[in-house]
Amino acid sequence: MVSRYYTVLGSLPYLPYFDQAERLPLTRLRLEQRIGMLEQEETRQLYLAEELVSLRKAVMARRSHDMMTGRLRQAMRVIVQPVLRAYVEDKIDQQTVVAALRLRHAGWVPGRGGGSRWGVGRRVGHIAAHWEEPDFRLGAVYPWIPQAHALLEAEDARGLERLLMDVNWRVLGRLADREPMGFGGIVAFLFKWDILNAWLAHNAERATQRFRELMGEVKHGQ
Amino acid sequence: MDSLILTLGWIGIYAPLALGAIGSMVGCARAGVSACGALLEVEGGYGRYIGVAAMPSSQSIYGIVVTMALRRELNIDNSPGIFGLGVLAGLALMASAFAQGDACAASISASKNKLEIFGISLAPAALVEGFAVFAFVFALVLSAGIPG
Repeated sequence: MVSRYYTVLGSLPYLPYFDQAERLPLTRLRLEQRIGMLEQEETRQLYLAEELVSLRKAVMARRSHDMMTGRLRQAMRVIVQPVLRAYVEDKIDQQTVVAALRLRHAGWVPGRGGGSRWGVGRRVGHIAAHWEEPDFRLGAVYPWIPQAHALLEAEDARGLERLLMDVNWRVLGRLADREPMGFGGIVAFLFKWDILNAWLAHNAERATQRFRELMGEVKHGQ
Repeated sequence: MDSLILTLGWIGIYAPLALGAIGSMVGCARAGVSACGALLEVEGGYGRYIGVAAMPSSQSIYGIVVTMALRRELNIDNSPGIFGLGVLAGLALMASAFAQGDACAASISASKNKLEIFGISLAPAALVEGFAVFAFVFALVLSAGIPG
């Protein structure tokens, strides 16, 4: 029995499905206070994992391949909690699949002019070997690939983002069901919170943009 | 050999109380720390959550009663029966207290977000209590058949 998990999970509110939420039920400050009740090492691993895969902090996107693989290797030495490690590895694989879909959509082929340093994780070699297959022969593991491919073809970036958030939300939901009073439940809450935060921030940007458009229309109409 | 059998008899007498108490400690602690977490999130009704956290304490009481029912002059004939009945009843009480602690923690976690489900969320914990009562009652019934 790990009593601190029970305390932390008991202190966390219910997170509604990201598409139906109107606001965050818990601020970042409060979230960090609650997670701070864990051991320092666990907290460190959680935030490191969050930095690696979070939708909230898209830091990795601005890094070179070498920096990214180096950072990943370094982080995976620190992230030793099995459930967190498994989620991070799965998320990185998922991001690699999405990167491969985008590159293929742009007409890029691995090893032909573009080089082979395009992704990280366990699936890079497999994807490169099955580049021409619609689902990279990963359809059984990632059944959402055909849908993501269709959304990319339709240039529906928002739809793709929503699909990936939904996929991750379900993965985290299963993780929380497996460990409702364990570390997995805390991992699931943190990453669900990130998804919700990213979704609401995106919607806020859209609302601001729409507001500006409407103001522009009113001004030009007068 | 005789002393070993008599030792087993003593273990059997004390096992329901000891194992039931261990179960209650862990169960109450699981539900209790969850209640402490919930107190950070709710604005009132604190006693409700602490009260739920005390539910797994009943196994200790059942254990005390079974121990008292098994207590008698030990001899070679009755010690094996007391050992079997006492240890198995104790294990059942301990496991039910662990499970009830988890059920209470889940109930606290769920009902702090939606107060109207407070009653129904306690149903799993009540079901677990029912199984503990089965183990308790039949331990008492069977203890009557052990030679005094």
